[in-house]
Parts: sequence; C-alpha cells; structure tokens
Amino acid sequence: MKILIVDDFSTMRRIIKNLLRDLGFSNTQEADDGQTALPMLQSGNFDFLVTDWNMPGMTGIDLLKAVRADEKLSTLPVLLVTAEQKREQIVEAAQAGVNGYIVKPFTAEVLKEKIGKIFERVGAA
Amino acid sequence: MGEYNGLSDDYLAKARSIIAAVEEGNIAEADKLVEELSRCRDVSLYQELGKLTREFHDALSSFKIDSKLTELAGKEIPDAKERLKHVIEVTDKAAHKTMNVVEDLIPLCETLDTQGEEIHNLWQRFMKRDMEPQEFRELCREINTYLDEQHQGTGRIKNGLTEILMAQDYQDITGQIISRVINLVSDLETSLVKLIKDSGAIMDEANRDGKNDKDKKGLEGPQVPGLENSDAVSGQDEVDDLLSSLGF
Repeated sequence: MKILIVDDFSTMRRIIKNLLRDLGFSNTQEADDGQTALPMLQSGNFDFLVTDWNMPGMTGIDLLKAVRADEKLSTLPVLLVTAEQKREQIVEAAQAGVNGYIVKPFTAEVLKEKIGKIFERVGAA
Repeated sequence: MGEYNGLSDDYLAKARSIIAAVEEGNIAEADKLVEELSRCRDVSLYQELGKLTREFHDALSSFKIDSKLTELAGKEIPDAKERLKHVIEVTDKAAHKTMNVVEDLIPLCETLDTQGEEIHNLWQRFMKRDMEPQEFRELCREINTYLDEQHQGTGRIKNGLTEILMAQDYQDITGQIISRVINLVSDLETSLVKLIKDSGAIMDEANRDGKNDKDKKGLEGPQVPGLENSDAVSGQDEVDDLLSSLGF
C-alpha cells in the first residue's frame, strides 16, 4: 500500500505520516501542494491519496478533480483532511468524488475509522 | 488662482466704466453697468459652487472605493483579534497537552528502568550461579511481573507519544490563521496608503453596514470559536451526517 500525503504544512504531513505508520502503512511519500502531487501520482503507482484542501499552487479540491479526470488515476481513493468545514465545500468535495472527508483538528481514531471505511468500500466495489 | 485674477480684471474694467459713465453724467449707462457687474459676480459664484460640488462628489465616490478600509476597521480587525486570541488558546492547549503527557510518562520510564535494573542485577548473580533455588523461584516471579508491567508501560508510552504527535496539529491551524491576519495587515496597509493619497475624504458611514464583499468564493480556513460561519459544520460528526445525507 503506497500512500501520498499532500499538505502545505510539513508538521501536518509528519503527523499524518506517523499516524499512518501506526496503522501499519509505512510506505508513504509527501508533497506540499497539488502541482507537486499530480506528477508524482501519475508516475508513482500510488494506492491512496490523503490531501489537504487549502494549499498554494494547486488546491486539494483541484487535485481531486484532476485525479478523477485522469484516466489512469480516476479510481484512486482520495481522503480530504482539511480545516474547511463549510457545507457547500463538503458538498463540492462529495460531488467531485471524494472518498472521505476529515476536518482538522482530528484524532487518530477518526483517521483510522475513515481509512477503514474507505478500503471496506473500495474492496466491496 | 488665475480665474480670480481674470475676475478682478473684469471687475476693475467694469468699475472704471461705471466711474466714467457717472462722470459723464450718463446714469442710465451706469445703472446698466452696475447690473452687469453684479451678474458677473453671480456667475462666478455659481461657477465656484459648481466646482465645489464636483470636488465633493469626486471625494465621496473615491471614498466608496475606500469602503474596504471601513470594512477592515469595522469587521476584519475585531475578527483578527479574535483569531489571534484563538491562536494563543490553541498553542497554550497544545503546550499543556504535551507537557501533561511528558510529566505522566517520565515517572513511568523511571519506574520501569529501576525495576529492570534490579532484575538485571539478580540475573547477573544467577548467571554466575550465585543464587539459591528459593531465590531463583522468586526471581522468576519478579521477571514475570516485570514483563507484564513493561508491556503495559510501553503501551502507555506509545499512546502518550501519539498524543504528543497529535498535539502538534496546532501548527497547521495557527499557521493558517496567522497567514490570514498577515494578509489582513497588508490589506490594511494598502488601504491606508490609498487613504493618505486621497486625503481629505470623510469616513463613509453608509458603507459600514454595507455588504461584506470579501472573496466569496475564497476558502474560509479554520473555524474560530465565537466567529463560526453559520454555513459551516461544527466538527467531524456533522461532516459525517452531511456526507451520509448525500449518500455516502
């Protein structure tokens, strides 16, 4: 399981990386915005994308849309981890095809639960 | 003040003509000239009034552009103060959370270390065959208890470390909030520089309650207690509810 973590704050990337390692996912890579992340995804055989929303360059929602529009990446599971919590933004993310949505600040349990659900659903599909 | 010079020349010429007419005894002509002189004054008064009105209008409309400043002073600055207070609270909470865990775990580490050392000493004696069978049976029981405590202890340490890790999420939240306040300060700076350039204008009270035209499509960032957006959800549970209502 190869996971890409995208967030413009390196502290948040480290937190997510450590939590994922606790959950048994140690094959992770990091990017600091969508622009850096997209080429990595296109060439890197990633199985899962965890991304922030609000980032300079390319935002998480634009990255999600780009992933869904890319033939090779369109089915990649995407989890948004963001401080954005306006209803219209959550709806926008859902419409763009997000697989999970976590609001910051979050707990290790929430991350574990959402990841579990995503893979349950992806496995069932 | 060229206009005034032109005007006084005009007055002077007219006044001279009036004197000339009076000296000539031509009162009818003098009356006509006096009337012309007064009309001349009226026209210049209207011109001045017109000019003033135009300047006032220009000042007002240029100040409408400056309503950004009114918005900054009326809403954004108080908001920013709340945001910065929130930064203090969040960093304070994170610092205490981290120190609580550390204060809790250090004694645990010390206990485990002391017990380990005791057992190690006894084990050394056993390896040197310097131990009675009864003492060895006791050592076995102690080792058993120690392994148990050690297992529980490392579990607690691991949980504590995760807690410390999670406490660092304040950096992301406060970083976003502070970036917004920095943007606000630079907006304020731009508006103030503009105000100084257009100085002489008046605070446009009417715009104080005017619509708040901050980037509507822009992202909201972290919700700050006391400044919650009514359109925002308040936590993971509501996000989950909203998503499940959308068929997730």
